[in-house]
Amino acid sequence: MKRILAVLLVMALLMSCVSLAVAEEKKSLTVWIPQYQFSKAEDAISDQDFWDGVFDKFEEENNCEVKVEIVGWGVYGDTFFTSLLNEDGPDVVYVTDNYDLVKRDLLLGLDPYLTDEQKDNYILWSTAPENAAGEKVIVPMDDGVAIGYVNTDILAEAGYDELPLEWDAFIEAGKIIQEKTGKRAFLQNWGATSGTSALMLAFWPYYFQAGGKMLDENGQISINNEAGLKTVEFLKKLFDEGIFDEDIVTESESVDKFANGEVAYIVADLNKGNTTFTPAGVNWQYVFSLKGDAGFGARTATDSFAVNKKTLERGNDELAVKALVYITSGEVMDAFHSQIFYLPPYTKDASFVKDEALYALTSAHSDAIYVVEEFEAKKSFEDTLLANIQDMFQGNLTPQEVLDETMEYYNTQLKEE
Amino acid sequence: MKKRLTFGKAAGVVLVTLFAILCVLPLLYMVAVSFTDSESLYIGLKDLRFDFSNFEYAITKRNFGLALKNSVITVIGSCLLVDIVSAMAAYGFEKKPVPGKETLFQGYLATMMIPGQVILIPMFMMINKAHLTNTFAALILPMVGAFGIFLMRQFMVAVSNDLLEAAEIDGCGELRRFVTIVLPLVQPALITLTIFTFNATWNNFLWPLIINTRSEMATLPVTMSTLSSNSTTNYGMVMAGATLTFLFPFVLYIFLQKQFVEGIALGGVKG
Amino acid sequence: MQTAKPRWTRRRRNQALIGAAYIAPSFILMFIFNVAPIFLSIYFSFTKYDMTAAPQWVGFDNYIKLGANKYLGMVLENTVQYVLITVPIQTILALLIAAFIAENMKNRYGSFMRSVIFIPVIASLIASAAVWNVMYQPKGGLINQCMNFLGFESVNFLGKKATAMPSVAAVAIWKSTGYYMVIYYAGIMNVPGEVREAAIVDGASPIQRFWYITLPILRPITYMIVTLGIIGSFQVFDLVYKMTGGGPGRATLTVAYMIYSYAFQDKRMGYACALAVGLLVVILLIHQLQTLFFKERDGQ
Repeated sequence: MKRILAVLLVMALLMSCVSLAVAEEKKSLTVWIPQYQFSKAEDAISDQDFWDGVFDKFEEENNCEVKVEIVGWGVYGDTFFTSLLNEDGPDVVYVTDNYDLVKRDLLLGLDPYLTDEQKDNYILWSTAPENAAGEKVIVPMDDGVAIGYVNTDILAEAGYDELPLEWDAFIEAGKIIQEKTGKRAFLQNWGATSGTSALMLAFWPYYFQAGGKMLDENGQISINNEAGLKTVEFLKKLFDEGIFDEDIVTESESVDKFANGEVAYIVADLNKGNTTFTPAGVNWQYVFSLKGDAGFGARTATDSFAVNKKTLERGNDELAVKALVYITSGEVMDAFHSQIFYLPPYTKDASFVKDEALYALTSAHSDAIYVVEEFEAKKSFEDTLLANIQDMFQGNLTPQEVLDETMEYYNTQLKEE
Repeated sequence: MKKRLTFGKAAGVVLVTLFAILCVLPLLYMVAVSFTDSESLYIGLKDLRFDFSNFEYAITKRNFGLALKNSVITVIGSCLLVDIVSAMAAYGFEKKPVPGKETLFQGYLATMMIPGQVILIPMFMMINKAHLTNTFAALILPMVGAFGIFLMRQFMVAVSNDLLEAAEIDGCGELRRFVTIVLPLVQPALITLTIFTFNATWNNFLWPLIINTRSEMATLPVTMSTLSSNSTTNYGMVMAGATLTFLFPFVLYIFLQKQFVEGIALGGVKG
Repeated sequence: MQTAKPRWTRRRRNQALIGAAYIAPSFILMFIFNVAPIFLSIYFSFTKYDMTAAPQWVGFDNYIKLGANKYLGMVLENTVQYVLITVPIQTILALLIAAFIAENMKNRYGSFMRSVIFIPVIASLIASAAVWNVMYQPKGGLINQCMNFLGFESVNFLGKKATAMPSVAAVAIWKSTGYYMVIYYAGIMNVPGEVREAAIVDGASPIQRFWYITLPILRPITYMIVTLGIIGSFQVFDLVYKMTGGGPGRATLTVAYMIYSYAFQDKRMGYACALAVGLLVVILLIHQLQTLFFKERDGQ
């Protein structure tokens, strides 16, 4: 018994020592990428296998070791910031919200490492935020617009050839669809537990359709304006008219229900049609977006890749940037987009297009695609707005109060600068 | 009178049984759903398949094997550390004339009132400054707490002083007395404390989540929570993850049922 | 005498040193992981601190801001509501089941029931939250399927303000009743047989025996269970984090969740620490009240 205990103790001690010791001769890199392979199909290559394979060539060419860590989305937002504070944090990292990282100067300025040609190759390079020295610190990628999906069978059953897209006409059509078919006209994920994911699909697109701008001239978030009010009133009307399900749902639920043929219209990410709805046997069509006073409007998010500033101390900054360039290269991204998850191209030299119809649609409306911008305490702002809108649905707040309360709470409690 | 009583008794037995069913029903449901492949929730018997693809996927593709190993190492390390440190401290407090020990002991007890969130942030900063993030040490060291020391001391009272003195006269050295006389005498308390520590460590979520950010260091609850995301939820898979998280303590419970229940009871009554 | 005394003191000093050596490891760990963080927390609460730059002294700013936080009252109310649902129900349920099993089911079936009721205790909160999330689903979740089968309408348990918090609390009760039941059962078994027999001879009914004998003897256990329950419930985080994210609206937003989001979502450690210190004060106050309550009852 005593011997077992002793062995266990030694084992535990050894394990903690092993994880402490990171003495290696070859240069090494740690890369953090969130999970993108959601398919469970037998032939679906896992994220880990994909990236390990991709980096084989890189490791050989640069005589280094690359360790790719695939992090689940469920905790990604919580962990990647603190991981950058840690001494053993990743060198190359996939970034979702970048405001805090830029403000705290945790990312490496990329300009000195990249040629003009390389910079020019990045489609969204000009939108990247800069550090105090005026160097861009991330390579933004287009996460893809949230696109509308229409169930054409339900539409036909209700006697429509086309879904009316103007806000008011849409509500009227929704009522008729529900009356005639007994099916749900529309679903939005207002039951989400995170403000960011709810607003991405169910707030910002309408705000853009109403002509709203996220940041004012001082770079501060501002939604308490005409467009904001129109947006919230529209949401309230959708809810009051019974267009939303009375049981407001999460994003995956609305996708499930669309795949089940229970809903006429939803907004979801641009992969869902090919990966989920077609296999489910639903007859569907893309719709770019609804149409508010300012016309069409869809949002895209810019997640990005960046390099940890600590690579300067670690002496592998150049290697890290090289890896970043390699990851985002047309060749690797085309492979990623075809084998793992489709997104719009990152760079001008990328060529893979999964769905011509979708590509044509988004290209035609490229002026109506808006970026969800970054600002201080964004996540908590979005949680606050989500909570207030949910409160409005429960009958406790008016649309104007939603905006007033959100902005007041943000300005007095959340904002520090 | 008698009849009414028997009726009451029967009703009581039925109620207790119903409550017991209620206790295990969610867990049975969890296991059932883990065998389905449905993204929607209308789970009927037709969805039940007896293949382990969700489990296979979780273990081979989502690191559950590694997480299990991490959890087991953390639990073993924590139990050993907490048992040893608590027993030593309790012995010192109860059997040694250390000046000011009662004040210190009261101070220990006072820390039991502190909500975890109060110390979470400074602890994170300290571990980070000490470069102990992503180590087992970061998971194990903070598990020592006032409760264990208090519990051990309750039992230490019963260790006879005469016995210790007799051993000393027989020439039994200090450390040997502690290891060969004291520890065996407080064995039930050690078992109790092990169970408490096991439960606390195995279920720890927030601390491992923020302190060990590398996926190779993630424990089971953290790995489990990476399974769901906002845009896709495969309930079968999430439930497979939950089942895997539950499985290890459950098997342990089946084998060590008596120790579990008696340990908790002992801790409760003595505590 | 003169020779004996120093030897005795030396021995005593020796023993004190050895004792100190036994206590030292716990002292070091307790100091680093329990005591120092409290003082650091209090210090941070007077600063602006974003985890990267050095803390910046701001005096009482964080506390003033906290006082002006319009959702704080609501969040405290939610937390208290959660405590008021979980603690009494889990305590009373545990007591009743333990007493009934001890009185009427002292057989193999009874001990089997005890083992079964204990099972949720060993399930982790995160796994429990995931399971109950599925159970509570408005469409197709087990509970609503049963309700539909019995002819009731579906209820969106976690999506409606009125039901969200009780639904979260129910999971906590489900998970901890077995734990307290086992403790109560052991306590009842410890009631000396003579006391019970004397009562039976006196012709006391089972209910009278429970009320006048068992319950008073169990008072220290009840005190401990309620104390642990209150402290634990005030810190509820995992369940809210996994089940509702604080919603709908702010119906399930609790103090612990708020601390977490201020600290790790907004990276405002100073403000989060001020809230944490506030929580500590509230818990200490409630603990005082509770001690008074139990003392007063003892005095009667």
